[in-house]
This record gives sequence, structure tokens and C-alpha cells, in this order.
Amino acid sequence: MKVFIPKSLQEAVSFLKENQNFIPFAGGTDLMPLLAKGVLSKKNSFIDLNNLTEELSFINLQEDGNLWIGSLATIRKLCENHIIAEHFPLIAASAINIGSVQIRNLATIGGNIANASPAADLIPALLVHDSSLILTSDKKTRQIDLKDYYVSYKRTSRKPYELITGIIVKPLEQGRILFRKIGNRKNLSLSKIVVSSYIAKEFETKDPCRFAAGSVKEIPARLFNLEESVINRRISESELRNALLRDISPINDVRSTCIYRTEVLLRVIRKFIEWK
Amino acid sequence: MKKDKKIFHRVDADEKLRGKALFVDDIYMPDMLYGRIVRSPITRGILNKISIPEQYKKKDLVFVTYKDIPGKNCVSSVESDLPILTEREIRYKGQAIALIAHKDREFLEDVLASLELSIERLPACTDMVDSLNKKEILVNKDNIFRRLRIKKGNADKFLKESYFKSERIYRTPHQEHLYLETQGMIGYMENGVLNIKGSMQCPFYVVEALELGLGISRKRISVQPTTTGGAFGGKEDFPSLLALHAALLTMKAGKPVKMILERGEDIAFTTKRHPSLIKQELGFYKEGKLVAARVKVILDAGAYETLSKVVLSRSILHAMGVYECDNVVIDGELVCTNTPPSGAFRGFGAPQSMFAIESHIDEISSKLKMNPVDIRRINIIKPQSILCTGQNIGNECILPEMLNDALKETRYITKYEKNNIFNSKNREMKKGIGISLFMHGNGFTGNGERILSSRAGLTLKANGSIELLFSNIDMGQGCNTVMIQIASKALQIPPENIYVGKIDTLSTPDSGPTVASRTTLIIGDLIYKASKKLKRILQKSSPREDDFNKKAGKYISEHGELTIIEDYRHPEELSFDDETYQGEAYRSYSLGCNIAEIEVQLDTFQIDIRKFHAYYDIGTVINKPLSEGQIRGGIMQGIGYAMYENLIFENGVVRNNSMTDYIVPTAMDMPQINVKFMKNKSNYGPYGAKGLGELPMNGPPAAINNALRQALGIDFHSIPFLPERILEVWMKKNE
Repeated sequence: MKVFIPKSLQEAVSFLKENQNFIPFAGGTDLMPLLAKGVLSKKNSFIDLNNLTEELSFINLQEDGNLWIGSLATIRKLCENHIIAEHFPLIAASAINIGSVQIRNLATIGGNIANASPAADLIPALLVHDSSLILTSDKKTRQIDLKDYYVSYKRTSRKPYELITGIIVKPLEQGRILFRKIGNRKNLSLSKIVVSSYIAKEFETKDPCRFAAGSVKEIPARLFNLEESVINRRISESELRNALLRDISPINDVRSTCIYRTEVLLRVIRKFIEWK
Repeated sequence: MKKDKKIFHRVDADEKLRGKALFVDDIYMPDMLYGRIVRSPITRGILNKISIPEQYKKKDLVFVTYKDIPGKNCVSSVESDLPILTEREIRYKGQAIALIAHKDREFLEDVLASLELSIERLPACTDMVDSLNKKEILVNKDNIFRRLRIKKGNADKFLKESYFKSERIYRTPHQEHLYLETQGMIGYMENGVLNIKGSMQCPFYVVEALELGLGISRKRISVQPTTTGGAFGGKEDFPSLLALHAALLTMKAGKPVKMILERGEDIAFTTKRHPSLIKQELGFYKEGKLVAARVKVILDAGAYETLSKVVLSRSILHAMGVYECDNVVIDGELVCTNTPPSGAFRGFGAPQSMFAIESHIDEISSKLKMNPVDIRRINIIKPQSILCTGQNIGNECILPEMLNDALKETRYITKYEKNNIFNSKNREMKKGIGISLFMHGNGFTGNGERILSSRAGLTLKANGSIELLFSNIDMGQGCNTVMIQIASKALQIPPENIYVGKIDTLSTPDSGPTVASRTTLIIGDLIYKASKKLKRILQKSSPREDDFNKKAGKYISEHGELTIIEDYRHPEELSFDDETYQGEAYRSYSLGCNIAEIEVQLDTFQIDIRKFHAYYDIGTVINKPLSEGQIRGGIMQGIGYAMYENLIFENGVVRNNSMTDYIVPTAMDMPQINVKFMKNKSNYGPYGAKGLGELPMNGPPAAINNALRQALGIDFHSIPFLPERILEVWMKKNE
């Protein structure tokens, strides 16, 4: 097994430019099980990013109200951060519901995004916050909206020579939020459904609601049709159902069923919308 | 008396908390090789040839096939039909075909990936219904390994004459043990003796298997159990097979061989709880008295029969639950399917039966417009009740008293009525309270204990300490602590002077397997008797001396060390006929009552257990903290069986063989559990104790089902109650 351990971000991206088959390795909580299962093996090569932790684990609130998070910030760090707890409660709620204590200690926000699991707990919240990613390569840095980042199942628009270095999380206006993770048990579970939602207090604003969910299609999903339906005040059960069905395409798998995912997501969202 | 109140801490706590206890995978030996099992990639077929590619042949690879088996190619069991390594016939995916060993584990992976197998595929039956319908014939004429029957009175006649009849079919699935430590064995030769170290419940079962499979005398076999990290029955039968594999490899290699199953392999290919299909016809008189029952219990034995007969035996003996009925016919059938052999699992056939009868009785109560309590009061066993085998339950049966206590203390009736009002008004959430009554027969069934003839005892050592001699395994349940406690009380000496001897089957007496809730009951009694005997001997040798150490010192100086071994004697008044299934099936029965209070949210359809009340009669409680621990763990395992665990077989292959996808409840999912022990004393067992280990497994599924019935008005006839299933049934019902 080949492992390259760069000392700085610059060294990392220069190396990646020449060695694009190297898989970025941060906390390793998604990659280690793949190694154990044999999906990855000693034939794969890794670039270990752990020396970059100091450089890339910042959590800074900018003057414009945006939150900048370094990609190597651990989930635990997100859970313990006061700014997040106070101003970004959806992120806080999502983070504390990831895996277990041990996993949260190691797993990083960048890893959670890069792994591109449709079940990732953090991503719906980041989508609701209209977040964008900073991707860094040898000579260039570019920014991409998170909603455009996911291409298809486990495929993203990250180039093999790029690293996710930061996440920009935009604040929400005053309003109501919902985070709900429905797993197979209370702890140590993967989502059967995970949903993050926001409805503005002043409904007449330009951007009055956002909905996003995980485990309901092949990529983490912003529920645009549902949002449109809500904006147009079409919120009867059948109207919401029809809108939602255009947003999602859930499957039957070892964790849950298509019907359950659809029905429960609909019920949870309806309850949230109707809540006075 | 004050001494009795002292809490006995677990004797194994220190070494386990400090990480000093050695599990089999902690053991390394010089020159040691690692062994792997070459498994069948198909579900059913004929193996024609297996060969190793040229490039691997010379690299010190140890390769074993059935041709290397010196003894009989079978694993000794109740029915010794499972081959150690397949010769031609393959009956399940993962069946062992050959063995390989090498010092480099990664090399073994490469070999496994490139072995050349020539196999002819045959169509398979991977579901018991397919087997029962004879879609393919796998064994015998009809895929049935064995049939058993219990009969009392005239069920046909009284079913016809009954006022109300109810017929239901219940199904239960596989359950995986998920012990923390996966299966593992090390084999090595030393001075002409085969040594086997590993994780196991029954060292002498392993000895028997090695004797038969290797054709060598047990005098040349030394089995030494290592610290065993959980078992739940999963290490009753399977270790015999793995020990044979390790032994064959070490004998061929001439080097120590270690075999440890990976978690995925362990879940996919080791034994599981028997899936069941239980058909019940119950007949009642108008006032709710159960007058006749016709029951058929079908268990899925998997691909080979192995020990399934005794599981079926316990299933049918528990088929009537805690109900007295004069006219009963119970048929049991073991069916063959192309899945890994089913095996022992805490409860051993009883949990399936208890779920069925307790759910059915509760469902009937609503049909008869009775409340769930009244129908039980009329029909439960009470002192002097006669069970289906003709056994008189005796005077120690305190089930009516337990039921009364449980109802009163939990305010069941009030809550039941309040829930009905709540549910009629509330559309977001529903509440339910459900009860189950259950029992578990203690020790081996029928003549089992007589045949086992367990032996256990102790040695007064030269330094005055006491070494306890028995071959039962402390796999986490705490039996070593309990044995020391029993000896300490009987000898009236501090527990610090007593220790449990290391088990080596060459020297330790055979006290039988660590199964069937028998350890405290049977072996505890032998330890008690040996302790009393030692006390008498020392008293005789120094009649005027009070101090134990002085008495012991005097005895040792005169006679040297003293070993006392007690032989089991079956109570003469108990007899059982294996042919007719009449007589005393078990010496005593432990009893239980569970009450589950649940809420179901109508958005996620998850069951939230708000409170779980658990009442038990296990006779005298020897060690309260340990007993409570076993009960809480058992309830969680029962809740897992009822609500979480869902082993997905697809064409005989487990799809979710990982801890990520085979869901068991965690500590975070544990509800508030209130445990209460009833005061009672058994005629059999040390200090009046009865068995405990398996009992807690029998109650939760039915209690939760019965709570669901009140909450949702739905009668479920199978487990697990996954939210996905509840949602679908709810939608159908409310369409």
C-alpha cells in the first residue's frame, strides 16, 4: 500500500497534480471499513492529509455573516463550537447525530462531503444553508455551490487533483428549522431518512423556505419542487406528495424501503409545514 | 446473616477491565500459521474438484481436504450429520470445502481468491416454505429431518365441541448472536498431545468431536477454553467444527495454527436461532377456559440436522406457554433448507413458542371481549397444575401471585383503560400496554441430565486455599463468581480463599456443557455438596477446632491435599419417557411476567418503549447484581429480536453480515427497565435457586406485540416489528 504524507497543503496539491490516483485520506472513518470489506485494498494508494489539520480545521465567522469551515475540522469540533451552536443550529444538530463518539472524534466535515454518501447526515443541513465548497488544486482555487457538487451516486465534480479545503456556510434569516434523522436505532446508525428544513418567519422574502434530505435518492437532495410548492402555498397532502415525488427517488435496500422513505419524509415535512 | 448481604463483585472484573484477560486472538505462538476455510460459493450442488493454481503450490501452503481426515468425516452432535469438510454434496453457501494455512495472512487472501473449484450447481430451497412444499427434495422423502409429538387428552374431540375456536400461524426469523468476540481457535501439538485453545461454551463437546473426527483417544487431546467474550449459545455447537479445522491444519502442518473468523464471515456462516413456523388451533369454552389445542411447530434446521432435535423438543414442550389445557396435541417438525445449520441460541426453541402462544391468547381475549388479564387468570398454571406431558407443576408455582403483583404495581388495568381513551382522541401518537407471561424449563430436557452425569468438585490445596473444579465457562454471565459465592457460603470462608481452576479437559472433571440455564442449578449444587462434604471431613479430623484455616492446616499436614468430586444424581422422583414425551420434562420451571408500555408516533412508526416491567421467579437469587445484569441484557436481546434484528437471507446468502447493517439495540436504545424478583424457593438447586440465563429472552416479543395490539389495533403474527412493516400494515388498515 502506498501512502504519501504531505507536510503542507501546497505539497499536497503539487503531489496530487502528478499522482491523481491517490485517494485523499482524512479521518478515515469511511475508508477504513472499505479497506476491511475489500472494496479498497493494499493495491490502492492514499494521500494522508492529517499533517494539514492545523492549516485546515478553522471555524471562522466572517463579517458578512458567512461561516468558513476548514475541511479537516472534525465533526467533534463542529459539535463543540459555540458559534455553530448559537448561529447554525441545523449544523450542530446534524453533527451530533453522526455515527458515534469515536467516529465524531476522527471524521471530518470535508470527508463527509467528499465521501458523497446519499445518507450523509451533515449534507442536508449544509444544503439548506446554501453552502459552497472551496476546491484547491496546484495553481488554482475555485468555488462551487454544494447543490451542484454531486453528480450521481458517489460521484462528485471534484477533479482527482483537487482537494476540498473549505466550506462556506451562509446564515439563515429568522425562521423555523427542522432537523430529523431517522435511523434504525438511537445511536451508531446510518440514516434511513435524514432531513433538514427551514421556513422564514417573513414568508414574503425572496427565499422563504429550503428543504433538503438524505437517503431518498442517489445523491443528497435539495427538494426544489417541494420548495416551489410551499412558496406557491400549495400545501395540501396531495400537492406536497406530488412535489416531493418529483424530488426524490428512494430505493429498497437493507436499511429501509421505498415506501417508508417516501411516506415518513412526507409526514415529517407536513408536520413541520403545518406547525403553527 | 450480615455476610449474606455483602455484594460479591465479579471475580473476573479486574482482569477484564484492565485488559489483562487473554482472548484466543491475543495468543501468539512461535512459528504460528493462520488458517482459513475455503467455503462453497454456491447454495447447493456437487463438488467435483478443487485445485490450487501452480504458482501457490510450493510456497509452504498447507492444504487440507476431506482426504486428510483420519477419523469419521462428521461433527459429533445429537445427530452427527454435518461433515467436517464436504466430500461431494454441498448444502449451503459457505459450507467448508477445504482448509488452508500459511504464516502470511494476506497470502491466504490471494489463494482464496484464486482457487479453482469445479462445482455442479443444483436448484435449492432456501426458505422453509419452499422446503415444506417440496420444491426440491434435499433430504429424506419430504425434506423433514425429524418429527416429535406430545399428546394429552383428546384435542380433536374437544376442538370440535368448543364454543370458540381460533386458528393462527406465527413466524419468527433467524437471529444472530453477535457475541463481541468472534469465533476463534488455536491448535498445536505438544508431546504427542493435541492442544486446542479457543472461545467456547462446551469444552467436552469439542473433545468428543475431535475424538470422532480425528480417530484419536481423548487421552491425547487437551482442550483449554480461553477467556470467552460472549456466546449466547453460539459457542455451544460451532466451536466443535472450528476446533476440528484447526486440528486438521496443525496436524498436517506440524506447526501451531490459529483460526479467527472475521465478523462478516462469522455472521454469514455460523449458527443462528432457528426460524419457526407455528400453527395453533385453540378451542375455548364460553367463559374463556382453554379446553383444547392443536399445535404444529416447524423449525428450520438449516442444511444439516446437528442438534436441532433437542431444540425442537424444547419448542414443543414450551408450545402451550404457561397455560393448562386438558386436551392437547403438539406436533414438531424439523425441516431442511439450504442455509447454514441453525444452532443453539439463548432460549433454545422456547422464545419462538412463547411469542406465538402469548400473542395468540392476547388476540383471542379481544375476540372474546375479555380483557387480556382475565383470559390469563382463568387459564394459567397454578399450584398442582398438570402440564401437557402429565407433569405436575407442584406447589412452588407462584405464577398467579406474580401476575397479581405485576398488575397491581404497574397499575396495568388503569393504564390499559386510559390508553384506550387516549387513543380514541389522539391522531398523532398511540399508546399501548402489553403483557406476557412465560416460563423456561431448567436444565437439560427429560433424561438429558441423567445422561450427562456431570461431575464437579474442589481441591483443598496445600496452602489452605480452595480450587474449584468444573468445566463450565464464564463467558460473561458470571458463573465463576457464583460458584465461588456458593462455596464460600457453604464452607463459611471468605471468597478470597477460593478460586476457579483453569480448565483443561485432560484433568478437569466433565461437568457438562454451559447451556440450558443449568450452570448455577446443576453445577452449583455439585459445588455446594462438595463444599459440605469437605466441611464434614475437616470437622471430623479436628472436632474441637472452629477456625477453618487451622482445621485445613491440620488435615493437610496429616493427609496432604484433598480433592472431592461430586457425581450428579438425578432426583429419583423425576422420570421422563423419550418416546411418548410423558413425565417430568424439567425438574423446575422459572417463571416471568413482562409488561411493556409503548408509544408509537404516527409519522415515523417507530416503537418507543417508555417503560418495561419485568417480574421473575428464579427461586432463590444467589447474586442479585449479576442476575439483574443478565436480565437486563436478556430483555435487550429479546427487544432486539422483537423490534430490530432482521437477518436478510437472499437465496441462502446473508446480505447484511456486518455490524453496520445487522441492527441490534445499543445502550442508548435501552428503555427504563424495572426488575423484580419474586420470593420463592425451589426444591432443586443450591439454596433453592432455579435457572435464569435463558428466561429473559422469552418474554419481550409477545409483550411488545400485545402493546402494539392496543396501540394500533393490529395483530402481528411475526417478528420483527420494523417501522417499515408497521407503516405498511397501518396504511392498509386505514386506507
